[in-house]
Amino acid sequence: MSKVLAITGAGAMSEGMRQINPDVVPAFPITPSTQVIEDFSQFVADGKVDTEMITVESEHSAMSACIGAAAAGGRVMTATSSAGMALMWEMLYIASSMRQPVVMTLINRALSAPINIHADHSDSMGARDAGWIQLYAENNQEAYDNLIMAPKIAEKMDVRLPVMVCMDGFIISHCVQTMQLEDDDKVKKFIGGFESTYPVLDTENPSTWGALDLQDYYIEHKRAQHIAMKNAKDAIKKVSEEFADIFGRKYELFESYRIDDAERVIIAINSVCGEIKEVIDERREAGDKVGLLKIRSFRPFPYEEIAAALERVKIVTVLDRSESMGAYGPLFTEIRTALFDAPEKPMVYNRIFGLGGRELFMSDIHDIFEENKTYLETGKVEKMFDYLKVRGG
Amino acid sequence: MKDKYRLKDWQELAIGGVVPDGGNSVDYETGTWRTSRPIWNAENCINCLNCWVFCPEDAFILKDGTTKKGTPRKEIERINYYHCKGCGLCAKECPVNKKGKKTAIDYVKEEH
Amino acid sequence: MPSLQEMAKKEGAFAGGHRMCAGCPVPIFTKMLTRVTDGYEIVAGNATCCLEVASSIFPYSAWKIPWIHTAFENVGASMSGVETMYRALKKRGKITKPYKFIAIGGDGGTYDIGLQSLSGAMERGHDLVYICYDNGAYMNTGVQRSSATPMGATTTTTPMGEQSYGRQGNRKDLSRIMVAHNIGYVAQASIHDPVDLSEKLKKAIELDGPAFINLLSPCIPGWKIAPDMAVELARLGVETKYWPLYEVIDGEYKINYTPKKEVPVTEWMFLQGRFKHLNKPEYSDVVDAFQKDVERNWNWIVRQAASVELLSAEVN
Repeated sequence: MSKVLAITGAGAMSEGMRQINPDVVPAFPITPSTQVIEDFSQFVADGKVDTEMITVESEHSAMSACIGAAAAGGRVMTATSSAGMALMWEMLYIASSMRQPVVMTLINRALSAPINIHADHSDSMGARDAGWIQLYAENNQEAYDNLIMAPKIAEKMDVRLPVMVCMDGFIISHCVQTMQLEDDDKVKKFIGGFESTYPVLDTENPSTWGALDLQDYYIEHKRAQHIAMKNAKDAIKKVSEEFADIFGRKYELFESYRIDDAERVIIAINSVCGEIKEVIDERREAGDKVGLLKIRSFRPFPYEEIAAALERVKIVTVLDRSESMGAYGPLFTEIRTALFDAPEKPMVYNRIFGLGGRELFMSDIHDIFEENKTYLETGKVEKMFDYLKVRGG
Repeated sequence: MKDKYRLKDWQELAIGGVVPDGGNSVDYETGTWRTSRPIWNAENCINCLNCWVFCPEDAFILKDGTTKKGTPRKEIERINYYHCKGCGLCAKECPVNKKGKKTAIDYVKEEH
Repeated sequence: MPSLQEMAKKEGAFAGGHRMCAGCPVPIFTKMLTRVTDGYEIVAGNATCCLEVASSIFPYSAWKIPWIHTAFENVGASMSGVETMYRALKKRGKITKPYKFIAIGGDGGTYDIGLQSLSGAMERGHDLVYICYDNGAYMNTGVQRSSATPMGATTTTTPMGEQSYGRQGNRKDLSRIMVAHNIGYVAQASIHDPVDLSEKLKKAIELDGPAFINLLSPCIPGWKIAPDMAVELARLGVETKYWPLYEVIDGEYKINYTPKKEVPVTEWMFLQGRFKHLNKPEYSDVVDAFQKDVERNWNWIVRQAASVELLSAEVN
């Protein structure tokens, strides 16, 4: 039976994994994703799943084993954070290039140095070119829902790409929130069986995986991968519609929160969006036309759809929770690209916030709306790029 | 141009860089690498299969045969020059050649 | 012990038309993989290495069995994944046939960059045979030193020069490291003895659990030898005791071959271009040190094997 329960974000992910009951889970512990694996190990120990776990000796080996297991011909999941994913880096590209529909929970955490275990998006943003579908979530319900949808998206035959299901470390992963846990059988039925492509275990038709491409074939394989990622956009939409039909919660490639008549919009990713929504509600009470555009799918990135959604908006503040040293934030560069061809371009500028888990309070979000109000009134963006809440300015 | 040498479009390729028909390297000619050539002399061959096992190119083609007593066995049939790179390992490791009286495998310069 | 005749009757795992160097002995063992046992489906994985590259230049593949390569340092892990998926699908009734899994790496991918994933795979107990073909350097990238490179050898990163005689210090003994994993089977084999090798492959494959085979495999360009010399140099490597043939079954050492006469290691070294600079009086100390190390290693193995005999005599 479907039930409402109070659970941490990490707990929600392990519950989702229990319901999916993947064939193989290779995993290595790293804060703050460890609880996902610990809870799942208990499910294995208690016989609540019949998954084979591989308790590997590093994240590099975790992703390597994920690729091997998936290529062998079954459903594979794992979880990691930060440095763990950084160690997987090489294998992230190989997973997507070998078109293995691995599903990975990524609990977003800052990258060292200095070592820091708290939330920012430097891990997943750095991996944005790795060929993985990236789905983000504001809270544990969304993260759980994304996880349930992920295998279906990943395994579509015209997609066959790995999916990273992201949420903020500690803020979501370790905070107890109430959410709807769907019925086990309904989830299993929604996800369905796994279909493999050229499984390594097919000895009747021996295939070779991981051959060497020279100049004559590499770019053709990349082109095929590019098209698969393009197809992923439709797959995300379709699977989200099917999900809404069955479970009632509707998701798009991004969420538009009160932007239909908004003049001033913040664009952001993950947990901070919850506070932004509350601030928007407060300001709307006072008649302030503000809104939020919350990214769900960062890869594939919905350029045209975002441009259309921002058609009537006058100014956009893009909040990035990661740095691309020497450049604008990664979300900002995408948004500006999306808006370049818009007939009426809004003003758009970039703020970096929250690195290493620095919190952004509601008062800080009010300040952002005050600032973009001034910019709009004066018709001038005073500062294109700045940090928020850093001592010393 | 033969179809097998036509470079394929991306739509024609199997997913993920897979080679769906493993073992298809037999279609690839490596015999052109040869600067010397082994020549197998059936009359001197004792069918020990050393050349077969040591040949890195799988270039010793076997056939079904029998021993003098009539036991079924595999025998050398010929050398596949489409793959033979001419390394000379077969001639070097041939026990008949090693004895020095006769040669079961001659190793000669390729004439171009 | 599978004879050549028996092996010849079976279908091989590795086809011609690959692009290994002329005379490279590596395919001697790859074509055996399906010929040493009966009744198993064989699946192989490869670390990035000469064999991997030269056997799978798209759209061609020499592999007649299912084969997967993902990266350089991880064949232990990627094959752990394949093997585990087999167990998962078997448990769920989706596969019934018995399978065996083989992971292959060169010495660079095994002694060095892949040591961690190999160690993990062996420690976790996957039903996996790991075969390291040791040619003593990173040959695929153009002969750079690895931790398997023998003392004094010139490589492109340990060149001979005014201030250097080549690779300094002793090589790592990976076989012993693998013995320390307390796995059921560890062996050293050589490419020159296909019958001994086939027996070791058979034991390793038939064992239920992890096994490791370290295989001496001379390299034509890396050792600077003629294309017909690989087998002879592997043989001399064994005759000079540079590469003892032994196996360790459940921790017990057994020497498989004791050379009939003492052959100095120089008989092996100076047939190779990578050592020829040492063939001068001023480098006699390096050569002596090499010879001493070979003897020390051989004696160590002899002592291990002797202690096994001693213990079993006491029991009896």
